[in-house]
Amino acid sequence: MDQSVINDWVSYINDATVVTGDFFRSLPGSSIIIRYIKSSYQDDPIRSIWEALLFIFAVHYFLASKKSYLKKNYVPLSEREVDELVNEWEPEPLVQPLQKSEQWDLSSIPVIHGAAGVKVNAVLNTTGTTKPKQVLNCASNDFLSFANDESIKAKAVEVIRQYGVGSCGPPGFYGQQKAHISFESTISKFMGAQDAIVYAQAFNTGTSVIPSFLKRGDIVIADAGINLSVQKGIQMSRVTVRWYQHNDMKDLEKVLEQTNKEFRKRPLTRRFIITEALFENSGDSPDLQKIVELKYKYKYRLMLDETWSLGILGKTGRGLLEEYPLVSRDDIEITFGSMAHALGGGGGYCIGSRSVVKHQRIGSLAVVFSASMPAYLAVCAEAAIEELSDTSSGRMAKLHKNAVRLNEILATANLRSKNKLTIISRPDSPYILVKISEKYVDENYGAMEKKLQEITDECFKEGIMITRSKRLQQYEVIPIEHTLKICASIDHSENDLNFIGSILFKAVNKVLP
Amino acid sequence: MAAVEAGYRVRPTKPVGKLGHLRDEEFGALTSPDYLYKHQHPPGVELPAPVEDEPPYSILIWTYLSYLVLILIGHIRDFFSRHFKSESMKDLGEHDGYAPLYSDFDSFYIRRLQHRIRDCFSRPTVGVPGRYITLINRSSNDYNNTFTEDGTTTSCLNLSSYNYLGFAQSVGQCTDAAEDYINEYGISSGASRATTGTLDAHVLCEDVVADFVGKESSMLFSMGYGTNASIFSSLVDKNCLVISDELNHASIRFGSRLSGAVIKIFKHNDMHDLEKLLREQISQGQPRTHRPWKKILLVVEGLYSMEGTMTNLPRLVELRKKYKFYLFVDEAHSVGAMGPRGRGVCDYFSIDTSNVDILMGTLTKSFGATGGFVAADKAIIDRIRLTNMGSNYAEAMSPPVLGQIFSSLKTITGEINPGEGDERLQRLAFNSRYLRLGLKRLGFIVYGIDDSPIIPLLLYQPSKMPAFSRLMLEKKIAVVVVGYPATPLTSSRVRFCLSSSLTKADLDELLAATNEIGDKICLKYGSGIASDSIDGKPVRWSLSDVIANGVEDCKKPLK
Ligand SMILES: Cc1ncc(COP(=O)(O)O)c(C=O)c1O
Repeated sequence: MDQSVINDWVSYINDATVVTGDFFRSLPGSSIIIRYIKSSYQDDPIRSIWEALLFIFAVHYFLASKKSYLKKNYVPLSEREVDELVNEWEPEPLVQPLQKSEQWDLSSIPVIHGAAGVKVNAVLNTTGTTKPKQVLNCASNDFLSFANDESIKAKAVEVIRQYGVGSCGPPGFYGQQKAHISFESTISKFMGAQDAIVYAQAFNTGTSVIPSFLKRGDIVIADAGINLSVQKGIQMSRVTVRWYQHNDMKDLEKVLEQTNKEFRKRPLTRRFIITEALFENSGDSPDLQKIVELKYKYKYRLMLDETWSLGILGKTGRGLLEEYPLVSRDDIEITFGSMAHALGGGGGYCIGSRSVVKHQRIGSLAVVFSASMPAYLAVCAEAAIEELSDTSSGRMAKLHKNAVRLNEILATANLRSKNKLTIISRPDSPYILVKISEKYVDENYGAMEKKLQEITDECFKEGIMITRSKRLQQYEVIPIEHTLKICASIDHSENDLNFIGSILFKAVNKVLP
Repeated sequence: MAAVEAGYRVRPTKPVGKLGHLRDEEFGALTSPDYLYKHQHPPGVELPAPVEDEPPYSILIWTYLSYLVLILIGHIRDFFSRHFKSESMKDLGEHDGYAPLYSDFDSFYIRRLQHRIRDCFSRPTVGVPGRYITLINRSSNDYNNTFTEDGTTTSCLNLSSYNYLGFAQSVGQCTDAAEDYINEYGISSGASRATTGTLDAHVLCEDVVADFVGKESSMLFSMGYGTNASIFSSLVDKNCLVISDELNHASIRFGSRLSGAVIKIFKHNDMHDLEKLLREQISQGQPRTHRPWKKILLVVEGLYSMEGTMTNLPRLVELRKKYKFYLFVDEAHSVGAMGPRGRGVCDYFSIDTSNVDILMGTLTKSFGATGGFVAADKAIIDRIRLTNMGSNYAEAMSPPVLGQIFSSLKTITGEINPGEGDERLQRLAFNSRYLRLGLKRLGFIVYGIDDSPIIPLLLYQPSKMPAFSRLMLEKKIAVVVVGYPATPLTSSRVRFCLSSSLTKADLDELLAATNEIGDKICLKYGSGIASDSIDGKPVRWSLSDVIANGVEDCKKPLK
């Protein structure tokens, strides 16, 4: 190469170094950096080289990371190629049409003609007839018979004559009505909390409450038997979740200890234990006292789902807390539940301290982005709670009596038919879940459900309506138990309860010989 | 009730039309057949992009500055509150080993900005949210921390409720039907739809809904938000792609995220951006593996409730043919409100519903009911019945709501009280155009298409939200103001939701009030590009000219 060109280059580089050096020195704070580099060079020149390399690598990485992340995987294609690919692409059908072998599942949904009281006229296509048949309703969540109570119906009529049916707007935009406010104050007093907020649907209460408080990086320790609504709430909040064995307090403590150890060095984030008062999936209850002890010991907060326990557990229907005199509502930061179950209406609620509730009014998606519940549902639920508060009404006592009685009848009958079934729910609960005992269990998902449907169909033919629980495995985190749901109601007479026992086991003996 | 007592509104001497049997404060009677209009988009024509007017730059700069000041003051207040350990900051700090329940960073906007104007939101009401809405008066002595009610109420003209066809009523055939359903079916069917909660009334109502929207089959859910929250999980999984308009509703975003599918966003209503995205996604396939997508679901809304814009369905139908994606249209705001027969966007564009795979909608907005529906081919709905969380786990729709839906749909189709449905549809169409034209001519900037029953009027500066809302309240008009984060930072707005229940006189009253307040707090930013300008200068008609010419002119293209 020509000498003069090289000379030019050298002088050019020299100039450039001087200019950048001057420029650098003119920056505020540069003297500190220069001093640092000089002194470190004096101490240890090798280290300086390492540092320089590291610096260059960091800059390179920073500049490159965004671009390559997006584009590394990108295959450049010409327009023609894209057109070809577009033409070639064949999507799968939007949903797979039902196979013949799945049709029975759709037919297994009974249609009730008229009101869903304790005696219903219903059609169940899997039984082969299409004429309505009068059967005893043993699968309704309306345990206390509020949904068809004459005085509550009269109230509902009164309310639609004052408010109309829909609320026509979310609570933020004129959808918060006097009826809602009044219900919120009644339920918070009834449950012993400072404040309450209503949701328009029970299932979407948990899915919305949980992500409104818990975010990525927070920690949830949840019972592995928790219901789907809570599972989905946890999923949407993107928290770090650890499961403990269903109702196993030893395991809970172990998980708490491990988790606290694991996250000891991390910044403090919100930590919650989530459990359910009466489990939808298994019909049993946790040891609340112990959980509260553990929560304080390990510094966790507690979230309790009372969907199935309000109006079912406790002498006056106040839920699980009524069974634990030493636990107060203040020990549970967030409680949510449903008015669509034992209160015989619709919608959900969340109770807690004033700030817990206030936060949800602007921070919970299902509150902010959905029309508020119709006013009549709020008034009916309030009327139901007032009835529970009135100890002379006797509804709860009747329900507990029927629940215990039905459990006894089923247990005795089960014993007589060699324990073909296993009752997994609490022995005093009107929400009864039974599964087929071990030796009849079929590994095949469809086959198990079909067996349960056969039992249901047999019962229906003989005059009682029960149902499969119909949980959907594809959405649940934990393998589901195949169960039948049988519900005691205050409207069931002693004869009815005996009838349920005898018909059920007649059916069981027929299907599981 | 209160409105009549106040002498505020008198019954017209000569009601015209089919709805004389309703209460005047819930549904104003029609006073002239001129106040009717039947809207329809010319078939086969793409939807032109609405002309979007922009304010002078100075306004945007002032808006940013206003936010800057608000944020600065907020931080100063935070500093002092923290310093003096004020009660309001108690929930925000760590205490004995517990992290705060919610972070001060996330809640900053709510504590320091929204809190100042809390009186403009969640105003409690009582009674029917019809033509008038009864607000419970409240006041605050502690800077909006708490409100006290003195037991009095104010009846306000209602531009805020989603009551497009005016079915929010306490009298009339729909309320009668709801009452009958209560007496016959009670309050609840006591279980989820898939177990034992299905009534014959559900089945019947689903057939009526399917017929109404023009699909083979439909399914009802007890909550509109919940419908979207659960439907996507039944349609797509992690090997599928959901393409979603950037302004889609929170429930759609929630549901599509829950499904686990990959989600890509395209610019609001931008068909070029959409096509680019489609080409890229189909040719590139799934990230990393490059396997082809199992399916692509495109999700749009019929009518966007914050913008008043409509989806460009004619173009989407073409794209659907070419790119073989499945089309999901959320008709929450458009079913009932759009189309000459009220059947939604397909009706409006004269497009066969077979071009849309899933029609979803809510019954909260046009029908005075509550809940949501999904309509599609029978094969699809049959599968969804078995695989949907909403049908297997959530409570079934409550019977009186079914009564309301059944009777309101039958009213629109003309099977009940023939003529009433058409009047409702045509009054809504007229009201929407009349008000929009009037606002434009007065010089305001409004967003959306001509026929939209939602009219957002741009306020820009954050301080004008409470100003507008409070001044309107003084004039006994209830409006909804929305700002950041529901809208972009600089485009705070007031959103007028029209209804068939409003009379022309009501709209004139509203125009007069808006005109006055617009002058007072300086809101007339229109440059004239969105309306006829005679001399190239911004359009500023006088109120009397607007009213004198509006009825005729609003039936032509709005200029
Ligand atoms: C587009 C859209 N989808 C769904 C919903 C939710 O409907 P609902 O209020 O009936 O829960 C809304 C309501 O605001 C909406 O705007």
